[in-house]
Amino acid sequence: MVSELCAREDLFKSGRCYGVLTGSHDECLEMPEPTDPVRVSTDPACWEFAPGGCGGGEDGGGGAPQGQQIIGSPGFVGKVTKGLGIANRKLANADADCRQLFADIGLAVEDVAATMNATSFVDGTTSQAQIGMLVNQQYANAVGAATVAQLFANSPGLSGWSPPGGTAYLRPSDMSNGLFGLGTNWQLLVHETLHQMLGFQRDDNWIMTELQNKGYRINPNSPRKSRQISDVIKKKCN
Amino acid sequence: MQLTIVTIIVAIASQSGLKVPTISGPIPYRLLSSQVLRPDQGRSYVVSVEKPLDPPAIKTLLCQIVAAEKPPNTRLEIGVYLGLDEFIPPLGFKPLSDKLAAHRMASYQWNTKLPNDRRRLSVAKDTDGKPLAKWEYHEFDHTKCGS
Repeated sequence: MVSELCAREDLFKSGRCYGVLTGSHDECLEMPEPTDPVRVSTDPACWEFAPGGCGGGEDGGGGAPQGQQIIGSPGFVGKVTKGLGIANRKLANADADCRQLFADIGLAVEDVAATMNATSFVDGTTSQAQIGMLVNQQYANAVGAATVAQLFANSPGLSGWSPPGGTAYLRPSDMSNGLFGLGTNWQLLVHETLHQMLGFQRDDNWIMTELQNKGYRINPNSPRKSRQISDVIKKKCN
Repeated sequence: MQLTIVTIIVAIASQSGLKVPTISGPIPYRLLSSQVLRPDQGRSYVVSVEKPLDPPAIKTLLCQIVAAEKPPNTRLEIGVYLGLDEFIPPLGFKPLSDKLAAHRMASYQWNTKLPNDRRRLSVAKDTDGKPLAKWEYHEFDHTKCGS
């Protein structure tokens, strides 16, 4: 069953807004393909018009995470939805190594799962959300970007950007990985969730240094940079 | 959100561009940031001191901060920085991240759900203020401050 799609019904009907409130993570597949991908990608996400966002789900089943939204093209929504399903299974079956990984940065695995399911995931490359509002103007000035879309455009290696506050922004192309890009980068969703839980001061550099000092094979100066965090999540929680 | 008077002063000072006041006590410090954490309403504090501290002094400072801020007993992060003038969230932006890392002296993390953590306090600088090749870990539990 497809949940109610968007508080801005007119936008949805015009094929311009693809926000969904997830129920169980395998829904949302009936969403129409956009007739004009460019228009879809350039429109603000629906929650930006309507605080409180895409309207509530109508299904009432499956223990839908309250308030979680996935906003982007149908392909992005499908990939994130699949990734959430995988990540939830991994975290639910976390063994001692997986639990220790999160404990080493001060987090309980159950809280990671709960926060992930309460976090909205948005296509960062098209989001017109204002960085000055999400963080502060000092930060916006420092990074030289007014909107999240500009930040992603200016930072080609940026897979995700996750200021604590309930919404993580992702680069859709990085939701795929593995051979021929057929895999789902579920570990990126967990990685960005960590930033929703940790304080602003505990950025990728801190996480990598902390884990390196606790014996994990991570090098903050490696060319893979913060992707190593996602790598170690996949390794320890697979 | 429970804000102490100090935190309100910090917020006002930050918004107005005023220098954050130094909080006096056995270890003088400036509270540069106070943040509520998800999902448990924990707290994250960023403080700056002017002189390098040894681990016992860092523990004294942590107790001072806890006494002043009275964070809830869910989850706590305190970052202690040496000579940091202002705190701008780095959020993956390398120049900001590098600046923060260069000033990082100690970091404390506490989670009520992780009672057996023996490496809550990490120290990143020696008593001369020089970075350690490898962080030192110390046992500490802020709930036992004053006991």
